Amino acid sequence: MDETQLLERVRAGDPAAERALYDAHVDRVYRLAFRMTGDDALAQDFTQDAFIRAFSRLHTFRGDASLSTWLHTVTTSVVLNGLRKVKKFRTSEYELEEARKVAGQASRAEPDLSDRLKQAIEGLPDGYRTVFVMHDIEGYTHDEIAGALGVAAGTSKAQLSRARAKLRVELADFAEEVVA
Amino acid sequence: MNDQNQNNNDLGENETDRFDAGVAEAARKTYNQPPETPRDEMWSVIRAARAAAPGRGSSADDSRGADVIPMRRFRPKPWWAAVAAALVIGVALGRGSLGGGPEDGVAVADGGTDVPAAVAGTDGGAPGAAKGTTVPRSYRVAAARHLTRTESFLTMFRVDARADQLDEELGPWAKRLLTDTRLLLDSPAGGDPELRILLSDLELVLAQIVQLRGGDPAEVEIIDEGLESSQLLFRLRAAKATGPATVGL
Repeated sequence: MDETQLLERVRAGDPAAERALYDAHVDRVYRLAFRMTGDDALAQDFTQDAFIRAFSRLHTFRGDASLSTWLHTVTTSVVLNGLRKVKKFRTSEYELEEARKVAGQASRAEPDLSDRLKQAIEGLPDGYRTVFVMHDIEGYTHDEIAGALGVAAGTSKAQLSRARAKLRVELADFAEEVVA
Repeated sequence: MNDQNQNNNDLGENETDRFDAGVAEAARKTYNQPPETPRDEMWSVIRAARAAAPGRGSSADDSRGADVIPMRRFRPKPWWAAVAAALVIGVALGRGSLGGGPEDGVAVADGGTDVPAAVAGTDGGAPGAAKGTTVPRSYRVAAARHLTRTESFLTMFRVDARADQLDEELGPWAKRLLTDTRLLLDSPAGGDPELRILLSDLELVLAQIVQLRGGDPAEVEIIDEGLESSQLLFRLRAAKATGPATVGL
């Protein structure tokens, strides 16, 4: 079944076609949501909301781009917008995580590369971090990122370049390990 | 830009590329590594929401509000409004029940007596400190804060339920609280008998609310009645009233 047929069937309310469309794209959406949030419950919420909205807006799809491109643009936008709203309140949700850390404090005194990397990525400005996660971690193209974020592809490239530069500075101590 | 140039100069272009590739590779392996996609679990929620949405299959989808529905679903109301309102209610209730005692964010003492009785592990007038010491302090702190947040949430839920105006953000919020409740039950905090009973009751109610995404008013009423009959809010407030509501590390 090609995209046009699939689209027709989804628009006609065929549940099997909806599921096929969902199956084709859900991994990528969920993975991005999880990478951005680091939280399974939030990632699931965003992914569900993204698909609910995508399905409900399917009538606005005019075929200017491929269905998959359009779907990714809609779903990624939902995930990233949701993340912006949630971010302000995330700090209050961390007590359990902190409790686990405090209770299970290991003897490790020095942070390893993965700790520092996480810290460095989360220290990036939002725009840089989003582009870095989408491009370098999840493999989105600059055109896909541009579509999802509503920016020019050049902006995406520039932000990625700056993100990488900042990470180089932050992880300079681990250069040998990183390059090895 | 200066950082970038400086680093490019330090590393050389080739090494810079290798460094960037190495960082990306490490990030792919370690940064918020996603678990397997819970496809079926999410699909069941999406299907339920699609089935419940008015005008399903119509091209005028966004006229959701046109049909008469007792509950608001998936309306893009900012969720921070719900959180902020709940916090205000929660703080007000906490103040009322504590008679002006220390509130959110106040760091309190270091023993087992600075947390709610249920959290510290007291029961029926028994000295709490001894039992409280069996639960590591970090977990008691987490439990105390969790109870405070849950009380705020349930208060908000009841207000909305009685106005037939359930906010769609309550579902995701309940889901997070349910996750935390289960984590606490499985943590050393769950080893305290009294806290375990309270958390188990909370788990049940939260699970019912999570399942409410279809927004059936009859189910809302059942949950509301359940809250009333189990006196869950009263028990939460009582647990808080025995000590400062929130304990800081």
